[in-house]
Amino acid sequence: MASIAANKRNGTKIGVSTIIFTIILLLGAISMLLPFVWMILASLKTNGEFLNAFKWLPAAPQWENYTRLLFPEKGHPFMLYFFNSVKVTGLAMIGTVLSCSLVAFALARISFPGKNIVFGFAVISIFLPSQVTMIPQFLIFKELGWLGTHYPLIIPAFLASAFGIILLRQFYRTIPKEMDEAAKVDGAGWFTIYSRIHLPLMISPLITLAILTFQEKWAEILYPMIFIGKNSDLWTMVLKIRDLSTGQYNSRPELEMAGNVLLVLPVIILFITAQPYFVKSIATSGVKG
Amino acid sequence: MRRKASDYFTGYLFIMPYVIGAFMLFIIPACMSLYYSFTRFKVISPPMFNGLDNIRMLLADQLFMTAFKNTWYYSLIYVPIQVVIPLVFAVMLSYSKKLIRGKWSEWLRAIYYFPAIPSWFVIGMVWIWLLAPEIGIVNQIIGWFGKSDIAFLGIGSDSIIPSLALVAVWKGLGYAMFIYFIGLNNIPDSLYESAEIDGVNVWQRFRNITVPMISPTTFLIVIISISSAFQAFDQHFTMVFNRYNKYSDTHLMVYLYEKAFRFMDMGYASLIAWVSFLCMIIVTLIVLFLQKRWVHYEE
Repeated sequence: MASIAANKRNGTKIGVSTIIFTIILLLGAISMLLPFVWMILASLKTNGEFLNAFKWLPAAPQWENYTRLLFPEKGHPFMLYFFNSVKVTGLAMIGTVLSCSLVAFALARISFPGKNIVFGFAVISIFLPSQVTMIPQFLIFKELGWLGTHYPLIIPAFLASAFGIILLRQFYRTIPKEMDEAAKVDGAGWFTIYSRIHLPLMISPLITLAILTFQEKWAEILYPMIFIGKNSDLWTMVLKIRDLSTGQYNSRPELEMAGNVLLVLPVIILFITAQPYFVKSIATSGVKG
Repeated sequence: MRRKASDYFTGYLFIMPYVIGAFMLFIIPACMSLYYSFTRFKVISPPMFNGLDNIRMLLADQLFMTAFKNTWYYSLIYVPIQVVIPLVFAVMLSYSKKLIRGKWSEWLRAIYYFPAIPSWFVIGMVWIWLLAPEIGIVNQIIGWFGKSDIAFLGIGSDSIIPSLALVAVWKGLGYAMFIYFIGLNNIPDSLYESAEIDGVNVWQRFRNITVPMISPTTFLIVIISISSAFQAFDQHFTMVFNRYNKYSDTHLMVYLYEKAFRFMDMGYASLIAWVSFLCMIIVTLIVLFLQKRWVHYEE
């Protein structure tokens, strides 16, 4: 009975087209994963095996590709770049969540003149592409003496993002107004209402925002390149791997792939553990490209 | 009354971070950038107003013209494919729900979304090797059907920009597919049921029900794709410019980056930024203007 109902809900019965479509989909899914499988296999090859790529499996896994990368004879250990990435990404996530939740709370719950103008500006600013603001931002950070530090990657996150505000505001608006009133009668101030009543109810959208921020910051290339520049002590993992591909290891693509695996590994772990939140974050991120 | 005044104060206090951010990161930079577009500004000395000189320079700049053409070429290939293919996949996904259920269906969606997450640096690097002539996997697979030795990403080759666009579609497929999938679930079943009574086939269902009903979502994907095509810095930098510093296959954003941060020509680079922004706006406006013709909104 249930299957009849299910069939009815989905339109037609299982037909030839359904089977063909499913096969195409599964082939597509393989094509989504294959490059990553290839990357992991390639990172365990010797240089010779890598360049003669007709064999997919390495004869003997070269784990020393990783040890070489993690503990180089000269230069900084790879862990340094990992920690830089974690620091920048982590602080940006905290900053974005804190500032956006506070600003969105005020815009959704407190009435004061001009708040519609602020919200309207946030909506419009989403359409202003980064290339227009990038150069002046660089010059402003230069004046502030922030170039070659992590500040330009972290501080702006604490100044809220238009996207985060718009995303969270809609969730705040679903919480009943009576809760604020009741708390006010008990003598709670706005900050208490925000931190004690609203934040616990907002856990799920806040995690969504944190994940979207992670995704953006962990993968970022352009801003770290511009703002950190040549100060290699502060490089994030992406910058280090870029250096591998252009610098001393130019002819060692297998080491580069090992670096790529290390960059993707935390993403895979997070992806598997927080998969439902990823799915939710895509569903709510309609405006984000 | 006191209560109200203190509400105002708290409100302004809470939105302070964003107000500071909006001025520091958007309003002031946008104004500065507009002004710089009409100046000669090489960082070491303050900007000097030079009127329309930058525009004259731009029109005579062959490298700019190449980058400009490449950007349009890339967008014209990327946007239509990125709009159509994910829709087809989303429709196939909704069919496959009969065979792949519940958790498995969720994982299937998650797998498609996965390439969107890692940095373009990783994706780009991997695809450079996958698309390599002879030893690349793609050539190996085509090789099963006959000898193949295509230099997809060869410098200055005809295939480089289409190849880049297709890799971008591969990376963005899961995201767009997911947005479409949500849209498909909002189409009322009654439409499909009555179509079934009329005995329509899969293609007619797709053409006459799904496509018109999904058009508001399609419109959203078109807008998102246009903006990402014009801002595709990461991909073009990783897959083209990072390998060889030649300008023949550059994207406008890469050219802008080079002008601004290697040659420190901030005035000229600001003008490039505004030109690419204008292109994006014009295309978006055309799409907005045409939406009445093809986007079907629920009454």
